[in-house]
Amino acid sequence: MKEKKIEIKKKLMSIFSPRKLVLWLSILILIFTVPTFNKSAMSETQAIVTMLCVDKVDDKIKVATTVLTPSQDKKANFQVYSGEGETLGYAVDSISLAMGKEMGFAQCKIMALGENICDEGVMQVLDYMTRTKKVGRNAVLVSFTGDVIDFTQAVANLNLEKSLRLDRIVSFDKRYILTQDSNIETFYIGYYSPISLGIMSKVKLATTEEFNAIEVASADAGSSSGSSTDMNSTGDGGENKKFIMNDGTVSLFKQGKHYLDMTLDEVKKANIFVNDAQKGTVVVENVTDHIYNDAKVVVNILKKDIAVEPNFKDGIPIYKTDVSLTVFIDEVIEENPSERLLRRNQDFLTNALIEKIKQKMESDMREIIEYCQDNKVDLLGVYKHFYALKNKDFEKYLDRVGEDYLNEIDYQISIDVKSEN
Amino acid sequence: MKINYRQLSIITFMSFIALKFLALPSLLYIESKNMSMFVSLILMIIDGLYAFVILDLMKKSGEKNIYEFMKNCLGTVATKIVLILLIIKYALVAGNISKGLEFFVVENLYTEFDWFVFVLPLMILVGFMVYKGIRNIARVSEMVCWAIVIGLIYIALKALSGMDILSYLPFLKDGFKPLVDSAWIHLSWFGSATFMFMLFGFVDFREEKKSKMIKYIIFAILIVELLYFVFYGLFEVTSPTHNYCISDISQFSSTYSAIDELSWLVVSMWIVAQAVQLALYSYCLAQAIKFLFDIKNNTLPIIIVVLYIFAWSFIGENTVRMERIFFTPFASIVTFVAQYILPILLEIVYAIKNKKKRAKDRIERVKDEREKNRDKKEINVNI
Amino acid sequence: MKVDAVKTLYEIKKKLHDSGDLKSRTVQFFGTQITLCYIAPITDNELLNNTLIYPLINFSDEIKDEDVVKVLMDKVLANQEVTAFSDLKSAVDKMLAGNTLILADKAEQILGCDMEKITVRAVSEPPTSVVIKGPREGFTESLKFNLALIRKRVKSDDFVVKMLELGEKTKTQIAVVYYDSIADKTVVKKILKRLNSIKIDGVVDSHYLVSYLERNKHSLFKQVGDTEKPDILVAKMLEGRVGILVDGSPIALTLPFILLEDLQNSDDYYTHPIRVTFVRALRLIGVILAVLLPGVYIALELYHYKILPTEFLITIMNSTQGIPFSPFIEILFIILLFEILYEANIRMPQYFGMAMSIVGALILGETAVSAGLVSPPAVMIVALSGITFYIIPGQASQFSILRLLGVIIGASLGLFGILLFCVFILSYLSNFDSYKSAYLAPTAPYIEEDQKDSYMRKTIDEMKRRPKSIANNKRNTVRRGSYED
Repeated sequence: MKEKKIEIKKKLMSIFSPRKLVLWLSILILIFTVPTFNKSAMSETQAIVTMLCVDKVDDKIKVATTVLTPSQDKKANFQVYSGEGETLGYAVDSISLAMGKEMGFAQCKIMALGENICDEGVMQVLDYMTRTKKVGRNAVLVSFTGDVIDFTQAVANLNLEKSLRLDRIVSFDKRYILTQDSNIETFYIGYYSPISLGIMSKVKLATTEEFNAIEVASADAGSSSGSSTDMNSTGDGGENKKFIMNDGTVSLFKQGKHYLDMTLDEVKKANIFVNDAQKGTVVVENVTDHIYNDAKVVVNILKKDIAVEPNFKDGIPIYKTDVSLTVFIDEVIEENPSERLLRRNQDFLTNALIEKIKQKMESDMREIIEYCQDNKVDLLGVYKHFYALKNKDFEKYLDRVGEDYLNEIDYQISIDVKSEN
Repeated sequence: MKINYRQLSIITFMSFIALKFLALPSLLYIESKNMSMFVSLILMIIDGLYAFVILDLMKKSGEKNIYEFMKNCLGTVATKIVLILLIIKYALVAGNISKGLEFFVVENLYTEFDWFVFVLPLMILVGFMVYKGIRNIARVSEMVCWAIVIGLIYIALKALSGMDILSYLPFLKDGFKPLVDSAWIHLSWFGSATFMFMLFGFVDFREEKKSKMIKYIIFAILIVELLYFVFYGLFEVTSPTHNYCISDISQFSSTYSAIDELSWLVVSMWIVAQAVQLALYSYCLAQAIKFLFDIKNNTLPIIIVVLYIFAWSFIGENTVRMERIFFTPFASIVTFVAQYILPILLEIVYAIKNKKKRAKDRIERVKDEREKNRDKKEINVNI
Repeated sequence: MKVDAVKTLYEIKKKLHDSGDLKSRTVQFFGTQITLCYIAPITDNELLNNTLIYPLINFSDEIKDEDVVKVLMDKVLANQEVTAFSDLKSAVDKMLAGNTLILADKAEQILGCDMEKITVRAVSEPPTSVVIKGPREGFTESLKFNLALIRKRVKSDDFVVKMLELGEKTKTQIAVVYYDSIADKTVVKKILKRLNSIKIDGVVDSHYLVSYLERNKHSLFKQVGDTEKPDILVAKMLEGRVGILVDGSPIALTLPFILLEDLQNSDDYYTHPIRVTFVRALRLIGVILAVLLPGVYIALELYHYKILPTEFLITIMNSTQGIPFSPFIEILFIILLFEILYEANIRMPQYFGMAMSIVGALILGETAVSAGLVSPPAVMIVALSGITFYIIPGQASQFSILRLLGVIIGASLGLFGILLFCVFILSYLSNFDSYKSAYLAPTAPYIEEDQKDSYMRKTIDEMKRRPKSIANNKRNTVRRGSYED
């Protein structure tokens, strides 16, 4: 018996002996390798989606995507596919079915949401796309007006003709976006925060005429506009060709639903409160002193520091904002410019100008505060600051006033302007 | 096959950062909210202190392994019970790591893949490393350690600018209770020093430098805290939805909206670290099984451990859910006993036994001397 | 034994099976018949004539009843090395090694004079280790000459040469060289013991001994160092290593061997340290690229397109579209192509080489791409990894196998598989300790002191102590003095 046992043991051990182990390993390698002989590249088996557009039309979800397809010349080539269905899942599946490929969303860096779906609430769409379809949460969120397919086509054209991506257009300059880059994650964070505020850029779909008209109009007005000519094709296509137009509008969402739109002007004003938006311009008029003579001065903000100090005094919340600006004088528009302007080594940031800048900034800031109060949106992070820094008092205050907490706050603003020297 | 003190420090470092960067931060947030990083800080500091207690025991044991040492202190039956406890602890950690690795790999690296295909090579690797012993694991840790550290710091620093410090305030809004709750529930993720039990008799203390160990532990705590700090600052309220801390942070670095290519290198290094950690805890598990059943050869325990890792691929769909359902109360108690009570108990018993022994020795010595003296006297008398 | 010249010669002839190159000459020496016999091709004729035949014939002193052998040894033979043999076997062995035997009638012993003709090719720079600045001498196929090259550099009483003879049929001379005070005693003993225990019919080249000296015989990885240059050998001996030279081989073996040695190059010590640090980093990157690049590429293509930035993905998609093979077969095909080209290029006569490399690399590659058989990125990646092999020529043969494994694993398991593969290799190499030295030292185990000459190099005067990574006896200060002194 014992001998038999030993023999069995020996046999068992011989299976795992080093020399046999090599054999096992090679068999293992073969098992793993054989199926891969015919495995084609993932980019061939999956449709690589770079942008996804979703909207709701007549109770049906309509989805359009730009899909990366290889081309002979060394350029990117996008094709637009669309589908619809009762739910988002069905709509995506219908595209998949039509293409004969699995949809791969890993490269999807932009999600565009149509007006209707924005009005109805976007959380379900985002949840499905990020959880089930694994769209990265750093994908940029954009809302748009117009037809889904037209919009996607316009984006694809943009990619093809100008090799520009929508996300870069939306966020090429921090002056024109609000608070943060609007990606899915920041939208989620906004949504789950107590004030439940989501922000995303809004782009429009315009025909050639519309676009040209806006361009002319903005040139007339003399103020800068968010629509840069660079990113808009100037009508080399047919009459029906549509264009992406970014006029700087920003959509605000409450509880995941579209709440209101902000114009570029309002965005710029709101951005004064935002530390991330470092750059900006201030235009002041009627500056008169020893250098200027009823001049219109455009001042460029080089650096901006914002210190926020929430406080309570006798139960009244005080929201104190210190803005410290470092500026640089950009343009001086004057009828008869004095020769002093040409002198070097002279500080052109005169007291009168500083005063004007302060006035202008404060009025802008007051305006946006009023805007927030009127619309009950906490764009400035008032809730966050009070909650974090004056928690107990603020909770008491919230119990008292509820949703209208913005209205009773005493906003104190102090502005400091420095020259770049 | 002994390892030197530096290698022990590095293994400790790796053990301290293992398990910390996958689901743990998101789980912690559920109870302790924005104070979560302090929960991990406190628990890791306690772990660090206990590491020295166990080290002290290890030194006292000299050449003896843990089984012999405990048998001397506690007796055979108690030792076996403790060993079972340790086996459960190691098994939980090994399972947790392998499960974490599975989800991480399948979800983050592959679009569609069968874990069963992966678990085989992983089993071979772990089996090989365990077979080759602790020195092998120590040396591999030594080699990969710095790449991981650099990678983690890189990830943290890159994402630092995107975070919001205000989310850490108000400080301790609901007092300490949520922290204690959270610490108790997630205790099984900590207890990073328990692996040291199985290294008794395998460490060469000739080049001992306590400062080195302290440095490594502090460094581990700092790195974990740095990443947690960034994580909670970055994701705030959505933290519980981020189950893969390390890859999620790297996606949201300051560079605007592009999956960062270099981060994948870092994430890859992290996978390597997890594999090494799996080998370490599998080694501990194999050793404990060997001691418990008094198995002479190494092969059988290794096969058991490897099959155990394989068995995990059949269970569970979601780390978070598994943690919630059946790890929590039981695992916490196991960890609590294995990590926090056992070392103290051993220290006390050892001290008492030693005292008795010393007393006995002294009595015997005195007796001997007396007898000698008596002999001398007798001799004198005879003369 | 009483020598009978005719009979003994007959016996020798019989022993050598009437070999054609055995020559003999008989001279009369005061009534005694003396027969000289030798192997003609290995005997130096001039030496034979001047130191043996001429003195024999011209000897004019009176001899009385003296022993012929004694007279010959004391008064006649003008040779530096004369040995007396009392048995025929050892005498014949010596004759086969270049001695001329002197068979004197009625003598008690056979005399042997060293007449070996040393045929050496000129000392030249070895093609395997070319240096820009530094000694250009390389070993030749003659052991004596090689020892001379070493002795020229080592003028110390501490230097030891232990001679052995291996190979029943070849009787090859083997020299084990080391510094007595530096080399670890047990290591030397172990090496000598292993060499002495070798039973082999012939040792044609030093690499015949390698498998007897390695701990893991079946391993792919090199465990015995080799060098073709005396300056490298001396430098290695100064660190405590033991050298083994084999007659007939221009390659000296060194033990113990650690992996880091291949990352180092003799050039490193003749160039500026900062440059060396940079170059070594480059070599390390080279290793990683050489082994993993094709594997990672195929893993990315088959499994992880999401890791790639979109712009990069577009480039790859555009260039890989329409290729008839699957990516795995494509890469395998290119690797095979390159390996064939490489092998053919080495074996090909030199005047073909140039033409061949043009045909192979340029025309074959170019046409394969333009015909749409393979994609340009795949060719580029395999070529890049192929070139990086030779950044560390010592390990090139292992790398090509590892690369193939990397490709197979990358194709079947993706990035995760490659990562496990890397850990496996590290873990595997961690066990290669032999001759009291850790294979991956000074990285694992980490030896702080030896970092002065690992991935970076300090200046020579800062490297004051011998490396700890290699087992050695003396760890005393070896370099002192500085500019300030």
